[in-house]
Amino acid sequence: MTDRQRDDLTAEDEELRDPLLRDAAAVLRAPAGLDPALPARVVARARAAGAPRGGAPGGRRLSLSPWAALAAGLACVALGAG
Amino acid sequence: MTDAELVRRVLAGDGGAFPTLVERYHERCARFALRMLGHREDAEDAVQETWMRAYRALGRYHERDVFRAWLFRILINQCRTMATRRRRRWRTLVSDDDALALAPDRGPRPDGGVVLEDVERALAGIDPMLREAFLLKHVEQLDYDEISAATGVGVSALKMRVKRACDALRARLEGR
Repeated sequence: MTDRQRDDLTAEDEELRDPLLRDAAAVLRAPAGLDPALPARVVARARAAGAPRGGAPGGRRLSLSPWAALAAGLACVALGAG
Repeated sequence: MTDAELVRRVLAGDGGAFPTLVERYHERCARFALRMLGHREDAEDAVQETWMRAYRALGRYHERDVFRAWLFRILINQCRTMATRRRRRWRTLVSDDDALALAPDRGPRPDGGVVLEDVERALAGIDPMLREAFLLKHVEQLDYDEISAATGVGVSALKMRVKRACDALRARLEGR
């Protein structure tokens, strides 16, 4: 693809200039109209499931580098042998 | 309150924070799932499973990531799984060109506008990968970086998919 083609593609992609497609996208933004009880059901299931798991708050995870894990493993083996 | 703050509150045990997140994003998830799958019950299952998976994985959410893209990544995977699981019905109801061709053609509206039924039918007839890209970009209005994070596809490839989706959709809408 040439730079010119890439620029044209980028310009065309950033916004819908074709009125037909713009109308289509707008129509598709209408509410889905799924079961209105679904959000409450999701929340109830989450409450029943208890606290979320998978790490410390804020995305900070306790993790060991592979070398640190290996060192910890060797230390355990050494302690066990001792 | 930002999404990241809400996630922190959920993880800290604030019982009101998760319903707020659900309220904030549920309709968008529902809309994407329905437009993507073309089937109400499948969409409801996909959305419900998405929220449960997201809830269980909140501790692995990184604040540097956009929550919307993180959530959509789970939703997209659910929709793909659902589509694969029910491939037989998918072929019959959504991607069967013969069936689509036989569907009654009501012709263009006098005012030249489009109605949801026409657009859904046109959308159902295009490749799922293209449909996904079009919905994320032009209906959910995620930017390309977010879509890339959500789909795992590079930005250049996504732009190409959106372009091809527009071409395919236009052709089907013009021929309706």
